[in-house]
Parts: sequence; structure tokens; C-alpha cells
Amino acid sequence: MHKFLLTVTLFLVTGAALFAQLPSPPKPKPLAIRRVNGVVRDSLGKVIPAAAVRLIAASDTLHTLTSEYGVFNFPEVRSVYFTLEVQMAGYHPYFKKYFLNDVKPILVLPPLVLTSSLVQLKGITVTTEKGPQQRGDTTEFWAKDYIVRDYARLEDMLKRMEGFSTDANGMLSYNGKPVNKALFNGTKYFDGDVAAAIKELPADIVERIQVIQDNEDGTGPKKSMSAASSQTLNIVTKPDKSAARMYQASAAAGTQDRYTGVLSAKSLDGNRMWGIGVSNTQEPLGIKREAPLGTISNMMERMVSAWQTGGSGGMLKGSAARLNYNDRIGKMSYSVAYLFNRTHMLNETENMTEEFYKDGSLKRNTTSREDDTRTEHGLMLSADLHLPDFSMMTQLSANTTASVSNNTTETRQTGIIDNLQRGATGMHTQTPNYRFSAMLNFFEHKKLRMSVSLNSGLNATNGSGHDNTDIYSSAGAGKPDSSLYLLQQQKISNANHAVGVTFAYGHREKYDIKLEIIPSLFRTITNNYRDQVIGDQPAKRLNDLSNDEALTNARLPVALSATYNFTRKLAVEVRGEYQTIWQQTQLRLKDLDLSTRSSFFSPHISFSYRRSNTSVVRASYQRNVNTPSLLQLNPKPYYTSPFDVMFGNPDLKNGVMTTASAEYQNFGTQSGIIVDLSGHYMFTNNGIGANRIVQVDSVTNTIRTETHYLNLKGGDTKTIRASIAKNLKPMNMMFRLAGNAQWAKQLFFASSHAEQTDQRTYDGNFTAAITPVKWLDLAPAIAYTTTSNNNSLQPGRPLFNNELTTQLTAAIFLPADVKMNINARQTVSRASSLPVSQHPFVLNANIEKRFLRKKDAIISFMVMDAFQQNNNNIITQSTTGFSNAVTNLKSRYFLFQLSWNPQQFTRSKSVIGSRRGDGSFVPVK
Amino acid sequence: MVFRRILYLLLFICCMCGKVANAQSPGPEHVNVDGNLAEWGKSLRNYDKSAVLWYDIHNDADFLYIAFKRPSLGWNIALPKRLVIEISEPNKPGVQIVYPGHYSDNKDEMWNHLEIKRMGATAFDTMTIYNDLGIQAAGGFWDKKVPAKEVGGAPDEGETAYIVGADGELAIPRKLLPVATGTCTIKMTIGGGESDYMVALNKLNQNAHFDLGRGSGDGLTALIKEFKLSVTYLLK
Repeated sequence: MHKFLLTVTLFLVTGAALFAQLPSPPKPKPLAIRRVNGVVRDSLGKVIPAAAVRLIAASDTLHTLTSEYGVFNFPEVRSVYFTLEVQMAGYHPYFKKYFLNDVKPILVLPPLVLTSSLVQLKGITVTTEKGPQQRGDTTEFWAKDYIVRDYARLEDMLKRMEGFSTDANGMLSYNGKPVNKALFNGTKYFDGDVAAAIKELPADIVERIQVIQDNEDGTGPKKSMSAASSQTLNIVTKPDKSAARMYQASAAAGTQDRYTGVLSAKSLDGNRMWGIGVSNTQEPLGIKREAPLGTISNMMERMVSAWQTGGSGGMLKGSAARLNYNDRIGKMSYSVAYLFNRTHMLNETENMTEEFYKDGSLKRNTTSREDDTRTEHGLMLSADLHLPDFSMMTQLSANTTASVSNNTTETRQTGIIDNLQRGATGMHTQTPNYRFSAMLNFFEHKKLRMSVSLNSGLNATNGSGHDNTDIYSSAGAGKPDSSLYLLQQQKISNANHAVGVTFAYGHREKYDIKLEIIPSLFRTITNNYRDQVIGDQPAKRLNDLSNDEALTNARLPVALSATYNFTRKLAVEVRGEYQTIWQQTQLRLKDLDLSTRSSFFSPHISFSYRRSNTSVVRASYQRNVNTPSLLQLNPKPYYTSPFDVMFGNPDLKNGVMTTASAEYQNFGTQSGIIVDLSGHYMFTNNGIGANRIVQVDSVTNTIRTETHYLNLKGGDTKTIRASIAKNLKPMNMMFRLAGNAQWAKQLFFASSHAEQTDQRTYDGNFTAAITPVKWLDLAPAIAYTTTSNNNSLQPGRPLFNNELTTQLTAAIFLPADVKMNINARQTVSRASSLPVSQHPFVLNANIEKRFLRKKDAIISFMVMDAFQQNNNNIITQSTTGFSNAVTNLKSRYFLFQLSWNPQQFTRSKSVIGSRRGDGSFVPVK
Repeated sequence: MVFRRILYLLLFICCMCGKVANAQSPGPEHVNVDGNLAEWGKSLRNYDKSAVLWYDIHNDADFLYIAFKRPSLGWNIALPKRLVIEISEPNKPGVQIVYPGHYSDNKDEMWNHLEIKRMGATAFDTMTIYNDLGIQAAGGFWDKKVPAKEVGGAPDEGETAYIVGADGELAIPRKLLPVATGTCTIKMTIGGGESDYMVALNKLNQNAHFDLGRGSGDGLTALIKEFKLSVTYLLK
């Protein structure tokens, strides 16, 4: 024993002597991140799998579930001061605060022991908070609170959630505002297409749905409460459904020569996504667009994009292909997408318009036929980098479109002129363009932050063709009264470049001061030469009708804004922008050089009062200045077409508009009622208006429209919007009531006389989704729209368009996986521009059956518009008149569809990491 | 001569069966891997004198459980070779677990980590004791004040000394084992590889932060020694 003690003492002494010579080691630096690891057990020591573990720290909140061995991991925890919260059914929640060593890269916590709460469940009523939960700028819905059927899509679930609605094109809105981007567990869903995400993804994979109020550009969180926002949908899946493989093979054939085929494959896992798809489509044009009926129509990816819809008839043939790849290198995520689209459209249009002038009105009945072939290639690259104090978002897109079009038009004009006009145009154009944008944010978590934005774009069109017009007296037979045959050469390029620098200084959440300087340069070069052809004579350049110009617009806006939070509830934002605009143009054919400089100040103030996490009131005031363009200042005639000419006014002053808005939003967490009210008032202090003058040329029997610009004072628009939504769970019902009212007074000049229109629009709608019995889903809807317009040019002749629609959509679930969908709609419409009231009854129906072992194949038969009445007119009213377009009369068709959509959802490879609140997984190092 | 051979053979078989029999006798009803060996009984059922190790082995449908107690000479487990447990089919390479792990040399922190070289793997994976392979482990060093004579001091001195020991237990998912059922060999190796006990002491003090005033004389001489044990276990 003595030997041992002696040895140890000797060792200690020599060791101590040695250490005395060494400088004391530097204190280790605290680590930026660390891993936190532990296990959850019950009081008997058994591990508890699938317990929800939440790590709450000042800087972030992380979520994860324990593994089958009861283990949890948070690989990237920024703070050593955190609270762990564990929840598991049947156990008391566990809360514990930790203050740990900040230099250890791995913190292994002692086992977290949950005690059973089963004994307390007896005799007590368990109440949970259901419906949307508001957390900052995010509204969150738990999927388990909403009951949907087997094979339901995400879209079906969203219809059950308070505040969501989709339109006929599948566009999703939340509280009446569009949802712009879709995320999948916090990562952009391919290119962020919301309609595709909610149709493709099944409802049973979803754990939570989040609606995030991003900044206006959708590039990140809002910096102030009162800032304009863009809405993003984040789909948080269950952890074991966080990776997907989705395939689709669909084909459809029907009457009216309808054929469609789609083949596509998509894969998602964390940041890595790829997709490939091809499609071929042939379908008639001009049929009034209807919401797709049946599962296949709803899910089938529509890749072919027609550049124009509407019309009264014709045929579209198209093929398309797309390739997408998204991935991440280190902290940088990137995406590459290629799109190909080729269409051949034969588009027939029939419409009737009436335009009001001081000397009377001009009615036009037009039929046109357009034969257009377009081929488009598009490439899009984007890269995002997110570091603790730096982020970067860049996007580069380039595409080229080649088109060949030949149009013939026949217009019968009556009123202030009586003639028949036949036109024929043909153009070959090439349109290459690119767009680059980048946003760099520096020191995001520091008091002083900086961001730099870069934007650059070029849109060019090169084309050539002809433009022939023959004017006949009335019958249209024999030799024309006058003719104008032109050859056209077009070369237009629009280039814009902008660099923005923003400095922001903030102290905690108390105040934020921001200085923005965003100089930009916009340059347009237009060469549009028109040469007249008379008989065999050489073509003669018409300088009056031709344009050769270069327009440069440089802006230097400097904005200073300050946001101050008086309390956690009340915030005020004041913003002032001083902008200088230089414009310079050369109209070479008219020997004119123009340049202007204009400076103005735009103030903005807004208040935001957040009564609670779920209730907010906002009010804002803003003054906008609108500077006249150089073409509005140019005093020399400028022809936009051979019959329409603009005369600018060099004395034009800036237009000034004032806008005041108030908004109230309340999410009743107890009542489940969502109320959204808003009111806007816009007043034109000094507007830039047009004075339209018509001149009838009795020799050529043509009409020439002159537009002169001048300042005018007055005119306003008042808008009120209200919506209320409520989910009635005991009745399996969700309803939404929404209404809008708008009153607008607009001033204009006609033949140098001041005129005005008073337009009133009211609309309201009620929608509901009910499941009265297990085998039936019902969605009744009632909508009413009325528009009236009093134009001083046509006193005593108010224009109106009133429409009442009642609709019932039913889904009937029959045995053997057979489902029927029926959509019946009765519309009653009356319009001043129609001789009789229209009341089309539209009945659409389909029957479909799922088959194969996984029930992922569907066969469907559909009839659309069984009574062939879905062909009412489309009426558009404006300050200068109205337009009625006729839709395709052959609106009934039958369709046979077959689709196979195997989808496999599995556990993501990155699921072993902990989970952030947005559903993304922190990679394990 | 033949009789003697048969006798030796029987003795050998009995010895072997003894280890196996102990291991196969009913184990604890439920093993709670927390480093506390109370559920294994008053003491672990097997003792290997040459390895200076109490141990017990048990299995259920999902896990193979190993409990060990080093009644003294605990410092050896803190030296770089640590405790290596290898589970294999007889005479074949198997799965190796090093516990406590090398991620930390701190005498307390090291028990939060382990290393595993799975079947067919060429290197060890380092992980914490809460991992997604399902391996659970817990353990720690302890020291006990004893009369100095118990650890080599003079009987009449009456002064007190300390012994340093270690307890540990592991649960290894059966899916990681080289054999699903039947016989497997479990080898445990502690320490070894230290050429100089002064170097070893330095490591214990500087790296593991042991209080060298709390140790026994026989522990000092054993620092450069390797302890080995081999058990045949029948997985139920």
C-alpha cells in the first residue's frame, strides 16, 4: 500500500510541477450547435416509442418522435438552454428545463421517465383544442382533426379545413387570398405548384397543414406585421410517410375527337426530388370551363399549356414534356427544370361589342379564325443557400418560343359607322427571353442586417408578316371600298436590370429601421416597320404607321421605414419613399428626342393590433404616385395599329392616388369560426386619363380612334370584403359564407368632354361540405353576382349583369369501390346586353371504379353537360362599353378514362434526424 | 489411463456445462438498462476469477442482455482498450461492441457512448447509448472505502483505502447477432496493451479525470494486464 501511495504522490507532484510550467489553457469557445440525444422510458424502464418530443429554445423549436427503441435525437441544437417537452397518450406530459455545458458537441441526457396517466383518464372529460392554431405568421391545422375517406386526396381534406377554397382551375385560396407556393416538409414541392401538390398527394400521409404568411415576394418571413404577404402552403407529413414515389399512366378518349395521354413519375425524399412526364392532348376549344369531375380528371396532370383559352370553337392539339430535378449540396439546395410545349390551335371566336363615344356608339360583331403553331423550350435553374447568417436565393430562367400564326377576321360595324371589315394577318415570330434574379441576405440574426437583390431580364421578339384589311360598304360583296395591305417587320426587345440594397437595423422585436435603395434600369427598343403594298408596285414604307424607338427608364427609389412595437400587441410602421425617375426616348422616324426627370415622395403608415395569437386588426394609409410614360408625354402621333393613334401631352403631371385599408381577422379557437373582414378606399387625387376621339373617314369608310392624354381629378373605388367559415364537426359539415361589395367611380374624357362611369358590383356565395350519411358527400353552393354600370355617355341606359347560381355536387360511394360523382347547376342570368334571360341547367356525372390489389387503378365514364345547355355568353363590362363572347355551342361530350397511379410513401432516409416545426428533418452528421 | 481420460473429459464437460447452465437458468423478469443491476438479483450469477468479473447473460425475444460487474480493478475499463464484447458463432468472427466508447475519455462521459463493428463491417461505428440500432447500454465507475488490508495494505495498519469498480449492462437487439438461435460465443476483454503503468496512470488522471488518491495498490500493478473471458451461451 505504501508503495502505491508513494508512487501516486510522486506522480502527482511531478505532474503538478510540470503543469505549473504550462500556461493555463484557454477557455473553450461555446459551440454554435450541438447534438442532444436521449431516451424516453416509462416508470418501469420500458422504452416508449413514437412519443412526441419537442425541444423549445429561444432560437428555435424542434420536433421529433422517439424511435422504436424510445430514442430521440436533435442533431442541430443552437442553444444549451432549452426545455424538453414529451407527450404520449396515456402518460403525463413531461417538461424539463436544461442548462447544459456549452462546449460539448454531444449532450446525452439522462433517461426521460414518463409516468402513466391512465388512472386519471377514468371519469374525466378530455378536451383538446381543435381547428386551426395560430403561431406567429403560421396557421396550423392537424390532419387528425378532419375526417376524410379512403383514397382521399389532400384537396379533399383542405375542403374540410376552415378557410380553404379551390376554384375551377384548382387554384387554392385561404381566406379569399391565393396560396402561391407549396412546400413538402419545408422544402419546395418541385416548382412549388400548389394545384399539383393538393391533387397528387393523398390525404392519409398528412400530419399537419400550415399556411405561412411570407413576405410579398415569397422569399422568406415577413419583416413586419403590417407588410403585404404572400401565402405558402406547407404539407407536413407523418414521419413514416415522408418519402414518396408517385407514378401516373392515364389515358382518356371521348366524343368530339378528344384524346389525352399522360405518363409521369415523381420521387421525393427530403431535399432530393425528381420528376419526368410526357403528355399528348387533343381537345375542342371554346367549351365553357367546368370544374373537373371524377378522380382521374382531378389527378391527371395537365402539361400541355394552351397560350390562349376561351373562344367559341376550334381544336387544340398539343404535346408537352417536363423534367425536374431538385437536390442539395451541403447547405445549398438547387433545382433544374426543362419544359417543352408544342401546340397547334385552331381557335374560332365570335363576339359582340359595343363601345360608347360622344357621337354615339359603335357595335361590332366579329368572327375570327386563328391558326397558330407554337413551340416552346424552357429551362429553369435555381439555387438557394441558407447559412446561419447568410442566405441566398437565385433563379435563372430562359426560354424560347417560335410561333407561326395566320388569322382571318370579319367584323361588321354599325352605329357611328356602317361597314364590313375583313382582315388577314400572318406572322412568324421568335421570342427568346431570359430572367435572372438573386436575393442575398447578410447577417440575418444580427442587429444590423443587409440584403442585396439583383434582377435582370430580357424579352425579345423578332417577327415578320403581313396585315391586310379590306373595308366593304355593308354587304361585303364585290370590290372593297378601301384596302390597306401592309408588310410588317417587328423587332422588340425589353431589357430590365435592377440592383437593390437594403440595410435594416433592429433591436430584438422592439423596433426595426430599414433603408432601401433599389436603382433600376428599363430599356425597350421597338422597331415596327409597316410597308404598304399596292398592286405590283414596290412596297412603300409608311413612316407614320411605323415605329422605331428606344425608350430608357431609370429609377432611383430611396425608402426609409421604421417599425415600432409599442407592446407585444400594437405595432406601427411608417415608411417614406423618395423616388427619382429619368426617362429618355428617341423616336427616330419622327425626329424626336424626349427626356424627363421626375421626383416625388410616397408616404405609408400602418397600424397592427394583435389582440391575441388568433385575432388581428390592421389599418394602413398609402399615397402612390404614377408618373406618365414618355409615350403619354410625346406630342407626335404614335400608331399602335393602322386605325388607332396616340397623342401624348408634354404638360402631363404625375398621377397621385391615395389608398386607405382596414382589415380584421379572427380565428375563434373555441368556436371554430373564422371571420375575415376588410375594407379599402382608393381615391385618385390626380389621375392620368385618356380623351378618346373618333373620326370617321367617309372616303375609306373607316374609323380612326385618337387617344389624347390629360390630367383629371376625382374618381374613387371602395371595396368591402367579408367571409366567415365554420366547421361543424358533429354534423360533419364545413360551411363558408363570403361576400364582396365594390363601388367605383371612374372619370374619362370622350371627344374632350369629361365623362364618368359609376360601377357597382356585389357578390356573395355560400359553400358547404356535408357528409350526412356514410356513403354520401354533398357540397351545396349558392352564388349571386350583380354588376351595374351607369355611363354618362349613355344616360338612361344602365348596363347590368345579374347572375344567380345554385349548385349541388354529390359523391356517392357504392360497394365494390364504385363511386359516382354528380354535379348539377342551375344558373339564371339576365344582362342588359342580352335580349332574353338565360337559365342553363348543366348536369355533369361520372361513375368510376377502383381496381387492382392496391386499388390504385381507376376506370371512369363521364358525361359533361348532358342537356347541352352550358353555352351562355361571357359578358365583360368596361368604362367604354361592354363585350359579349359566345362559348362553344357543342358543349356536351362523353369521356372514357383509364388511369393507374401507383404511389408509395415510406420513411425518409433522413427521418432519423430530429424534426423541425415545418416537418423537415435535421440531417444527422 | 482410459478412465482418467474419461474423467478429465467429464470434468471438462461439467465445467463447460456449468457456465452454460448458469447462463441458461431463469434470468430477470425484465431488464431495465439503467446501469443499476438490482433486477439481476443480489449479485450476478457468474464470476470469472481470472478476469475479475461478475457477469450474467439473459435473452428474450428481442434482446440479448449482458450485465457485468468489475468488483475491483475498475480503472482498466477506462484505459484505451476499454471493455470489448464479441458475440460470434463458435470460431467465427462476430459482432464486436466496445463499451464504454472512445468518444470521450472522461470517466463519466465515456459511458454515454459505445462503438459497434457489425457483421461484415470493416470499422467501428460510434454512437451514443441511445441510438437507432436499438443497442441500449448504461454503466459507470464506483469507488468504495475499504480497510487498506483488503487491498494489499499491512493487516495492522488499519488505514482505509479505496477500490474502484464498474457496473454495466447492455441490451443488444437479436437482429444484430450473428446467430438467430442456438449457441453463440461471448468473449469479453478488458484492458491490455499498456506498456508502462505510469503512462496508464497519466491517462487515467489527465484524460479520465480519476482521483488517483482513490485507488488500490493491486490496481496499479494490474494496469498493464489484459483480462479475458469466454462464455458459450445458448440463445433461447
